[in-house]
Amino acid sequence: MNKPNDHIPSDMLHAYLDQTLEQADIQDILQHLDHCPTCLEELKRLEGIFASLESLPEVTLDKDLSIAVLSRLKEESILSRGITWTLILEALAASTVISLLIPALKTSTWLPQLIDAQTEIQAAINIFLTQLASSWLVWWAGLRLNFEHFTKSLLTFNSLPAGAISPWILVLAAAGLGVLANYFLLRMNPLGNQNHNK
Amino acid sequence: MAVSGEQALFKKVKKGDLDAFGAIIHDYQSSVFNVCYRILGNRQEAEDLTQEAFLRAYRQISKYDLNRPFGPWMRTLAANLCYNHLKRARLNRVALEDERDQYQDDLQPGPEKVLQINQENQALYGAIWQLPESQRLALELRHFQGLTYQEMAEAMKLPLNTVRSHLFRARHKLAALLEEKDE
Repeated sequence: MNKPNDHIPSDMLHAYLDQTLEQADIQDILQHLDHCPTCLEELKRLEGIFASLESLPEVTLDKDLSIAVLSRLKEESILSRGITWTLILEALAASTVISLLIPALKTSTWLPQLIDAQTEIQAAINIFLTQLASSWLVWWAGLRLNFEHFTKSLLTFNSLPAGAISPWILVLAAAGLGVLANYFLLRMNPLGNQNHNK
Repeated sequence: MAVSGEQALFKKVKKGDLDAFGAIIHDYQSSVFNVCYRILGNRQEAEDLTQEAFLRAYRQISKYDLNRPFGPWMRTLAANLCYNHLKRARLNRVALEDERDQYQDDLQPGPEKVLQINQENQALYGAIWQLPESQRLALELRHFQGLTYQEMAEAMKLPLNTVRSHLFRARHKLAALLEEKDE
């Protein structure tokens, strides 16, 4: 709109209708509209859209959605508590395995040299870290990714078909596998071999 | 800012009181559903996404500032959720084709819907649902939620000029679509 015959730029018209223009720009637009039927027509076209949108009636929601939302939130709350118990169970399982594994290794005849104070400490730290990682994975999986099917299967435990494996068992089995993997890694550990060779 | 009675409710919600959140849902579900319906154009999906929006709101309730009104925060959250849903659906060709069928069903409303929406408004809804999702979101945030350009840019996580462009194009396209229908 630099020259008198220029039309109002489209974004200026929108900004005018959105009431985001400075007073000086508004004056320019009003003056231009006085003698430009093209711009006036475009303005009316846009005003029509504004009016239509403003008068668009709301549709009626014919059901109460709060029941379904609260029900899902309660399920999540149960799951959250379940995961806490899972963590405790995992910790207990890990402690039991550690307490059984280390004396067993000490009394075994085929690995007595491998076990000394250094490897015991290393084993304990490694097992602890494995447990920590698996625990965080469970938290992450449960709370962040919201595995709906997984949670549903937990909550409908009794309705599982005969022979189906409970996810709880899988979690504990994973923890156990982690411990076992750790044990075998420990066997291959160069530090352990060094001690063995001494 | 949430009114005093509501503020008390939100304080309870922040402490994990689900019954208090139930009361909040009851008060806001209709307006949130309408946001979803305008963007998605499908009643069933709008109900599903309304539920999802409230679930997210509850999980993110710590981010909600009690000194600001809940309605705009909640409705903007719902609008973004619907926008992302549409974007994902567009990326999934099969899902998109299914949705188109559903939109067609919605554009041919049953008798109970005709009672609510007259022919002119039906045409306007139909035109809105033909807009690309980014333009639909821009239109929703500006015209139905009354956000400023700057607030829209923050909500849509886009540059100000891009948001303005989406909005202006949406209006022009809407006008063209309605004129086409009139002819």
